[in-house]
Amino acid sequence: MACRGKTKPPIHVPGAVTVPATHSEIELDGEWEEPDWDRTAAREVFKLNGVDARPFSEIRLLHDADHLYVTLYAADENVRSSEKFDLTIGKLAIDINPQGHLTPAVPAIRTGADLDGTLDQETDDDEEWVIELAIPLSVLDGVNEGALPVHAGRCDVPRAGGVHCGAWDGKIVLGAG
Amino acid sequence: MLGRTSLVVSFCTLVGCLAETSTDPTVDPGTGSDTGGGDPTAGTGDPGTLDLQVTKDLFRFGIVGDTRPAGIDGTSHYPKTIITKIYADMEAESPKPDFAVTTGDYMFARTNGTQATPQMDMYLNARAQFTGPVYYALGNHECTGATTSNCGPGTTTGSTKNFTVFMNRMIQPLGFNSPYYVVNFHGPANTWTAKLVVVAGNAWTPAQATWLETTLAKPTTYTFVARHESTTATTAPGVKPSTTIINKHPLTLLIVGHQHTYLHVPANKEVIVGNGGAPLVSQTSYGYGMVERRADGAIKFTELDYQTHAKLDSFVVRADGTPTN
Repeated sequence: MACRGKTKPPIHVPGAVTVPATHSEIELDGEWEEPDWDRTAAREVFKLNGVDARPFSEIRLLHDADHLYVTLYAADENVRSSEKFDLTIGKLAIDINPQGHLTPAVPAIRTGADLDGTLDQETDDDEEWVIELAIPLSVLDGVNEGALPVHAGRCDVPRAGGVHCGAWDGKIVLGAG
Repeated sequence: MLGRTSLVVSFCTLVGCLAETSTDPTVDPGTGSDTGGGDPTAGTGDPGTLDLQVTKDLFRFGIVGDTRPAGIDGTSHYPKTIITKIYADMEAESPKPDFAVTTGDYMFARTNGTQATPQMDMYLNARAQFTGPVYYALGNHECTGATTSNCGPGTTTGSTKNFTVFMNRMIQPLGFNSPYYVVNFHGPANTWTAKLVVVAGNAWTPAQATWLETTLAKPTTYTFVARHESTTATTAPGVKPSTTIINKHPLTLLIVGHQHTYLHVPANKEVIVGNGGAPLVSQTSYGYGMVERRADGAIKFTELDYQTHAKLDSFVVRADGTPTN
């Protein structure tokens, strides 16, 4: 007998981050205006040697029936188009720059970006840039079978020199939708 | 027409008492009444002046920088733990500072949303850890959020919800009706004087320019100017014109924020204190600044880590802002 109306129970993996479901439409504009980004999303702050990385970065995650939504925040005093987040989810590995451009290009992934500052302008002070991605679940092999490993990282080169990196490494499972 | 009123209120600290000897009355904005203050576009009289008598030679105040969440309407992640600790640290300073000044950005909220008030609630709850007066500067996030924004009566943006919350909750309780104002301090037996000039770079009007010119022209031993954006944040409407005015007059220290970091810029007599909880853009820690008048009359600045209380930096300047030991 077919099991009608029964949804697949959420997977529980110890230590994995459960990505909440969103039921609101996410506009990919880097603005985080949807309440779910603040109130519901899974949120992880980038670390370096166990403490919050400086400059500050974070990742937030939501999903719906078709997409994993990922947003990446970078506090940045001098935003350059050469900067990037590197993001790995399972077998998917991409870099995303402040303009939302992916390397390598993955046409199925939609992005949005917001910059508080001026790109590639060395003489003024910027604040931050934010990326939003809608990643089709169909691109993420195994996302419904178990926890997927995730790495999100970023290195910043401030005006004062040096290179300062931070990252979050973990596993995600999709929460009940 | 309302006239000036005199009110004597004493704020007592471990150091001594700041006695408020006079205060400009409030006036209904937009009435055009000449009451000596209120509507910043009227250009009539001082928008806000407070005169305080310092009873001991030690003059000490704290500086608190930007405090806002990373995302717009990010109330759930407001840095309340950090800012609460910062104000508690200042209260515990020995001797306790006579007052504090802030550099702006207490929220990150949509101007057509509902989160300005709850975020302001959290900030002011944290501020309540410090029992001294706090003099607040307007940040760009108290306007629309854009560095280029310009708010208040007479500006193209007018009074956004964020601006109104700032004015109602932070400025009007001080007895002012304008986001720019001056607090004058008189040392014992008037052996020295100081003024704290709070500039609103995101509420810039010709009237404020006139007021700033007049206010800075009044001689005092020390002149501290507080403004949200630094000298290099030239896209803020009031930065370039106010910098031009400031540079024509004696200056001890320009206190700014906007950049979420701590930085001393001696060439501009400027200290950037923007690390009050907003996402850090540099390797600095969250913390606060302390300004203290030394017995020799020099002004010492110290930046402190909010968790460890470690000294992150310090420098000393003369009354004219030039460096000394």
